[in-house]
Amino acid sequence: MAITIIVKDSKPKGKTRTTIDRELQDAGWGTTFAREGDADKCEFVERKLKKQLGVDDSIVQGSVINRIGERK
Amino acid sequence: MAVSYGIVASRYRRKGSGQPTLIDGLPVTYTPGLPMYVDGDLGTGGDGTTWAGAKNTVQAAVDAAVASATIFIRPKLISVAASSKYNENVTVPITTHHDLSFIGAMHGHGTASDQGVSLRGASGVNSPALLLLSAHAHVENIHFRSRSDQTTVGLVAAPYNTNGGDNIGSSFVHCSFSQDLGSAAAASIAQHTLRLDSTQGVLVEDCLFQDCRIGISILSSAAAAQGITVRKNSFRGLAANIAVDILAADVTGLEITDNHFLHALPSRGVVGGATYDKYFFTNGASCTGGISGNSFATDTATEATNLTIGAMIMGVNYVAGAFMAV
Repeated sequence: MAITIIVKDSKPKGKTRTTIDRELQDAGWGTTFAREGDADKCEFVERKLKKQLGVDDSIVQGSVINRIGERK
Repeated sequence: MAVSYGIVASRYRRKGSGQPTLIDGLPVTYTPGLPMYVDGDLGTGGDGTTWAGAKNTVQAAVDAAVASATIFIRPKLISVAASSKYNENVTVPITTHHDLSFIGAMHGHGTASDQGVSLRGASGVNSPALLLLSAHAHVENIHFRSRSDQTTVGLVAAPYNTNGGDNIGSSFVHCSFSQDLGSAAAASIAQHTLRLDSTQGVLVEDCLFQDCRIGISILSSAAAAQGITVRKNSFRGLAANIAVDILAADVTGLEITDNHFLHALPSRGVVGGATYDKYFFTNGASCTGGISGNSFATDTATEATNLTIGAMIMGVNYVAGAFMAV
C-alpha cells in the first residue's frame, strides 16, 4: 500500500493532494485515494511537512520524509 | 525538480511535545506540480487546468502538461459499456515530460469489476495503452485492459536506453492489469503486460494482474536493468491463460517480496517461441536479487517446478499450506 502526496507548490494557489481530493469529491469525481486510511496518512504527512519543515515543493526531497523521524 | 520516494509508515508513533514523530514502513511518493484534469465524457475539452474545463483525452492532457504535472483522470460513464474506457494509446514524450503523475479518481468500482478509470489502446493498434518515455512517472489507481492487437510491445511500457525511452525511477501503485479474454492475442504471441525495458529504480506495488499472459517483464542486460521492486501484488486468473507472472532477463537487484500468486502453476505453453510456465522465470545468467515472503497457490512444493530463479536468492516463500521447499 502506498499513497501519493502532492506537496503544495510555490504558487499562491498551490494545492496538496488532500485539498485536490476534496475539490474532486465536491465536483462528483469521487476520491483519488484507494482507501480512506491512505487519505488520513496523506493528510497527516502533509501537515507534518508544512508544520515542521515549512516546505514547498522546491525543497522536497525523498529524504525529507525520513528526517521527520530524526528531528530533534 | 527534486522528487523521490520517502520511506514510510505502516504505523505512526507519536511522542510527546518536542519529541520526534516516527513514521515508518510505508512508501510515500511526493508529487509536486500543476494539477491537470481529464474528463472523457466531455464533448469538448478545455485547457485542462480545472475540473470544469478538463481535457477530454489523456493524451491531450499530456500534450498540454509540463514536467512534474499531476494528471487526475475521471472515470467515464459506467452505463455505456463501449465508451466506459479511455480507448487511446497515450505516449509520454521523452525528456520534456518527466515526473508526470497519472492518478485515477474513483467512484468506488467502475466498469464491471474493474477500477473506475480504465485505459486501453485503440482498436487495431499495436502500441501500448500507456507508453512512458520520460523518467519518474507515477501511475496510481488506474485499470489497464489489453487488446488482441497489442503483442509484444506491452500494455503499459516504460523503456530506458532502448525503444526510444529514457524512463527510470517510475512507480505503479494500486493499479490493475487484465487480459481481455474476449479479445485475446493469437495463441503463440508473447503478449507483455507491464513491460520494463532496461530500466532502473522502478516500484510495482499493490497492483493486480488478472489473466495476464506475461505479467511483468523486465528485459535487457544486467548493466542496464537495476533496482526493480515488485511487492505486495496479486497475480490471479486461470493457469492456462498465463505463461509467466514475472519474466526477467539479467537484472541487478530485483526484489520480489510479499506477493500473492493466486493461480495454479502457469500452463500457457509456447509463447514467442519459448515455454515459461512458471510463476517467475529468468532467462538471464546473472539476474540478482531476492524472492521472499511470497505465497504461491500450488500444491507443487518444489522451487524448481515453480520458479526458474537463476542467481536470485530465496528467502522464505509459501505454497499451499507449507513452506516451499528449496
